[in-house]
Amino acid sequence: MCDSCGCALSHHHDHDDHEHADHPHGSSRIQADLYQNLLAANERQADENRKVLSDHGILGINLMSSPGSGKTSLIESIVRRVGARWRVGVIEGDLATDRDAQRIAALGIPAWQIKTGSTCHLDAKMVHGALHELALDSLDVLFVENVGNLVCPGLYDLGCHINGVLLSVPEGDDKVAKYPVVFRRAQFFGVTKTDLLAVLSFDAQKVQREATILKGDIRCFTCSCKTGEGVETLVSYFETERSRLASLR
Amino acid sequence: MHEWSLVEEIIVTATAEANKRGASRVLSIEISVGALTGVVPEMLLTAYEIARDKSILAHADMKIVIEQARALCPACAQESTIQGFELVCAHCGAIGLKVLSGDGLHLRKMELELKEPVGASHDAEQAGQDGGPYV
Repeated sequence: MCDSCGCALSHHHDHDDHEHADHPHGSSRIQADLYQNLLAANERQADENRKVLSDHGILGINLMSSPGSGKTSLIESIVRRVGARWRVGVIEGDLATDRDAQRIAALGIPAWQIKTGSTCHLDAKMVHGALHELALDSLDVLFVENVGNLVCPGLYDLGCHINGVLLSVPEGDDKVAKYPVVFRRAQFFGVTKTDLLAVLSFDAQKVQREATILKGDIRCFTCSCKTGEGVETLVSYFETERSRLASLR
Repeated sequence: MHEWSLVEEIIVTATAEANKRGASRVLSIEISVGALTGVVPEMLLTAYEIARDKSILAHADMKIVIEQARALCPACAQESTIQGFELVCAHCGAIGLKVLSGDGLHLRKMELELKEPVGASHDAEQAGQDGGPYV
């Protein structure tokens, strides 16, 4: 399937470092000046994952949010809406249990659960392992539901084509400004559980404006899985991204 | 708490660099942390001091420098220093700035003690300079 994980990932090496020759010969100490990217291994694996998905014509979508903001519910809602139009697969990330994978499998679509133990985010290597467990030839869209955490997942490219952050109305409209890092990697931002706007004080325009200040080109959406409002708009956005991916093949 | 994962990367990367250069031990390292990464230097240092034990970095102090965030404005083409995380042009107030620095994590410096004095081993010096692909 790929050139990775013991399946012989090509190990590139950054050449932007150099030795300082300012030491006298005979000395047993040297100082090396470097510029080694500490996230390089993850980024190489992410690029590999993206290539595997692209080669199979699969749009990869990474969903990030705090626990309970409705990632699994949104996937369920989208799966029900698209029906047979897309063949969807899901990789679930949680610290423990396969409850989310069971929820997804109950819809009759393939799901693979990554249990991270105490690790607070998915990384590209974990996703790579999960890709081996899915029949990629029979998928059009792959959702990767990250570990519920509005901080750590922001630093790790998983190799999806698009990354999204969800924020639910009950979490409060101050959370974009309070948790900015995760928005740096996002292409889209979804406010979920908008049916609760009727009973909770939440300024959806404010959070969207704040997200745009953190990431100028972020696409903003609102939706409610309970009423279905806004879900079709998200589906259309993903459809556009699928067409874009297909045009690049 | 992703600082633990980052410390693993620091140790793996620094160990590879030290071995490549024929070092017997690492005396110190310097890491740069981009201001936009949200990585907490104190957390990174605490995790490092626990994780370095039994590695070639066991006695290596780690210095952390913050790389300031700078961004380019697409509207007025001027550069701004970014305070916090809001990418707003300091000159014209536009958003949608292109980040130029402050978004990464890098191993910047290593002070190494070599197994053999510099110049004694041609191989060690060459290994330090070629940086060829691992296989």
